[in-house]
Formats: sequence, C-alpha cells, structure tokens
Amino acid sequence: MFQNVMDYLGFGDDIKDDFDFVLFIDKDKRFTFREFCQKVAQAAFHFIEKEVLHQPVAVVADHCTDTLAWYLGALASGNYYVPVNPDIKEDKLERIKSLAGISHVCRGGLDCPRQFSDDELSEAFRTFQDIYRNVPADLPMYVIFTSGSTGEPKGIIKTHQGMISFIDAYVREFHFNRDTCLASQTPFYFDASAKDIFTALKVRCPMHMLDSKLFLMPLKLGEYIRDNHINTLQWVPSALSILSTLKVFEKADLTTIQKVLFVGEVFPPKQLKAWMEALPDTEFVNLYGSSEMSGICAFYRVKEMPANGSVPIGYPLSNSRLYLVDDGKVIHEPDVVGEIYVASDALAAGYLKDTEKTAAVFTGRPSPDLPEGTYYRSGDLAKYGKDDELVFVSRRDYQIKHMGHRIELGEIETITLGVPGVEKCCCIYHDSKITLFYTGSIDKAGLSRQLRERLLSYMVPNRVVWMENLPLNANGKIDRTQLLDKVINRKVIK
Amino acid sequence: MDELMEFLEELHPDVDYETCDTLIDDGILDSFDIISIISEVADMFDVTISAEYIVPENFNSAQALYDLITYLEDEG
Repeated sequence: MFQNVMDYLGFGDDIKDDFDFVLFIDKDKRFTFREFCQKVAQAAFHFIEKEVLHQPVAVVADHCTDTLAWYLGALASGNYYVPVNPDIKEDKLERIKSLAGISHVCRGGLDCPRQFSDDELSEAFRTFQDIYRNVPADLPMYVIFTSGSTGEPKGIIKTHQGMISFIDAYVREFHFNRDTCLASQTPFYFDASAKDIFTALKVRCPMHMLDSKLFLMPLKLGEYIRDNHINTLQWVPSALSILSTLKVFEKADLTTIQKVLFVGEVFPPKQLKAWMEALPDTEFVNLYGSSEMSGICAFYRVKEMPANGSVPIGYPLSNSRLYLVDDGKVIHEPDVVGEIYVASDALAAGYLKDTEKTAAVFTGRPSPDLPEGTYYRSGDLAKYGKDDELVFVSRRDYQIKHMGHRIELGEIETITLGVPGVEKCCCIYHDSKITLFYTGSIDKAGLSRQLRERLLSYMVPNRVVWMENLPLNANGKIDRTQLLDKVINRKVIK
Repeated sequence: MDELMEFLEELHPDVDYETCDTLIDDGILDSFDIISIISEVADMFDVTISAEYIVPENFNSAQALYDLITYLEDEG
C-alpha cells in the first residue's frame, strides 16, 4: 500500500499536540513546530495557487528552515522536489531544469505575512491530504543530482517508500527520540542530509542548522555544541576532524555528545582515536551507503580502534541485505574479495531519464543462489572479517569521496580538458587531496582561476601541477601509478 | 615569510596574497584550507596554532597569519 511521507511524518494527525516544540534552529532563529507548519502551508499554497501539480520543483538549498519548508510544501501540494546547490553554475542549473522538466525554482522568503490560526492550519493540512494522498504511486519523493563521469548531471530518483523504510530502520537502530538533539552539518542539497532532516521530523527532536562559518572558528563551534546541549553528530569525518585536529576538546567540554555517526569517507585513524579518547562514553558509528542504496544500508559500532586503523563497513541495517558476489558466486567465507550488492525496500528507483545507466547498476540477482529481485551494484569491493563484518577493500572505478562528496575524477578531467591551453591532464586522489597534473600552454594560476569558475568548490583540485609531458605506461595510457608516486613523494613535484 | 607564501600559493595559485585581506570574509579559504595551513605551519615553524587563535582576523591575509606565527613563536 502506498504511503506518503507526509502521512508517515504525522502531518495528517493532530499536529497541534506538538505545536510549541522547538524543532529547527538556524542562525539565531528558533522555529517551533507550529511556525514550521505555517511555512509548509505557505509553500504548499504557493504551488496550489500556481496550479503546479505532480511536478518537480527546484529548491535552492540554503542551510535554513525555509529550504525544508519548501521541500515539505512541495510534497504537501502533491509535487516532488529537486534540491540544488546555491553555488550551482547557471549552465548546470539549466541542464538540470531541462533534464528534470522543472519550471519552478524556489528559494527562501517564507516569512508568512499572514499567520494561520491553529484551526485554519489543521484545515489546510486536511486539504493537502486530499491532494498528496492521490498522487500517482510512481511519483518520486525527490530527485537528487550528483556528479556524473561525463560532467552531465545525474538525477537519482528517491521514493516515498524508500524514505519510510530507511528512516524507520534507522531511527530504531540508533534509538533516536525526542531527547535527541541534532546539529546538521551536511548541506541540504546532499542526500546524506536526509538522515538529519527526516530523523528530526519523524521523532520531533530539535535540529540545529550549523552556519558553515562556524567550521572556520572551531572553538566557537565547540562552545555552540556545548551551550546548545547537542548530543548527536552525523557529520563527515573531515568536519569532525576539525574539532580533533585543533584539540577543541581541551578547551570546551563536549561530553554532552552521546553519539557520533560518521559517513562519506574514511575517518583518519589518528583523528578518530583522538575523538574516542576525548569522549570515552560516546557511541561511535561508521555508516555505509549512498543515495542509490537507501542512504545508509550498513553500519559498524566502533568499540575500539582496529589495529590496522581501517574501520569496517560492518553489518546491514535491518531494512537491507548486503551480499558479496564474485563472478556469479555469493561469497560467505572470510578474506575473499567480492563486490557489494544491496537489496532493500529503500533502494532508489533509478536514474532520471537514463535507462541504460539504471540497468547497469540496478540489476537482477547477480547470482542464481540469491532470491529474485532488484539489486544495487555498489562498485565497492569488500571482504568478510573474522566476525562476519564487511570490510572495505577498494573502489572498482575512479569514483572517489572527497570531503564527504562523491566525485568522479573523470568529470574533473573532462572539464579541465575544456579549458583553452590544456592539452592533457590526469587527476590523482591521495590522502584526502585531489592533485591535477596537466600539460599545455596555460600557467597554473590561469588554470586554477578557470577551474574555480567551472567546477563546484569541492571539486576544485587541491594542487595543480604543470608537467612537460605526462608519463605513459606500456599501453600508451597515462600512467596513474607513476603520478601517484609523485603525489606521495611531494618533493618531486616542486 | 617566503616559505609561507610559497605554501599559500600552492594552495590557491590564483590568489594575490600580497594584497588580499579578505581570505576568510570572501570565502577564499575554507575550513579544510585552514586545517592544511595549521598542519603546514606546525611543520614549517614548529608552532602550534591552538583553537582560540583560529578566528577570521588571523587568517584574512597572509600578513595577519605571518604576524600570528611570529607572535606565537615569541610566546613559545
């Protein structure tokens, strides 16, 4: 039976019970559930008045309450939303709009000139119910765009059913409740923010939207966490590392933090160790997943630092099944490497208008030994450890995770090759840094300036190195191994 | 100072560090750059920039950063 996320989150019931509860805090403003519902209603009426129905609407995802009100307003009015990065380049936004068929772009401005009375608000949500309960069953909940290897944006279709399955399993596994207090670091245009947003909305707990400037002032960040009794962090390791690298623990008491769930990249062992030593009673959890695989589909509770520093992927979340498959055979024994396949109610519904790419990763069963159904092919190679936990081995291709963002190195290379004066180039990822090697007549400063204009900030290479020629291997291809050696041994570059 | 400039230029080759005094205010340096700078400064000058000194004023220009390092060196 189709259930809409709006119903799952309880917007159909007696929302009045929770009206005075502070739900969202952004900058210096605090919004109670009543105030948030006002904004949602305002956003929903905006679409209803414009007769936008069963349509995608783009929302410029600033890190504030209005963004979330636009998301839910789109759902309440029977539409679906497409988050976009506020720093998106104009041409990329146009490509997304035409690919998804978007005619409306919304941003902020939900200041509610007219306040609805409580009765009016309940009445409004009853009106919305009639609309959102009658949307076509295959209408997405949202479409999230990520970087594709050719530079073309890739839209991942997320469903109501997937979100409900994920949040249900996630909230249960980690015991989130009304006493949880979240600090949201992940920008709302990344799918990883769903576990903050929808946990807060489901359990009705406060969520602080952290100003990104706070991460430039680590002591203030520490004090903010302490003063606001924040007890749960779901951040990328790079953000967590800011507090540990700068030894903020020594200056601000962060023992309010009960849970640290990290995701998106490898946590540098030294930093994770510093966290665990500073907060011995805190639960540390490594999360594994991606937008295609239901957000999070596996986790590992870190009790002590593994001897080799590498934290396992761990075990499946209750709504997911993970299999290791090699050459059509399901692997059960330890230490044999295979590719991770995921089966779950929460899998995405595929890529927008790209049946080829969808069919390539959302496949039938990869082995006759498995039940029939849809499986997501992750591209991650892994093996089982001694306690049947999954342990990451490597990526099958050149997709990387950098500062929590998924990046295809191929996309950076494609865009670099489009800069006049560049002949050849190659990106190497090592030790959390992207190094771009190139040949051609343009100088480093000129190229950097061009890349800054053409790439999103997190994709801009950390180092740019000019070379007379790029080294080639026996097959005449750019020799990535030799370039990696150069990166590791930085002296050679200078 | 030269060594510091060389490192900063490698971080963002397109920035004119001689004149720019809004490295933080204009979002040229992000939090990950700050981390790189702090670890590089620790290696280069044997100076630890602790959390209370990590405020925009100290990172808005190369000169301000250099002044901070000199101050911390004298302190140490």
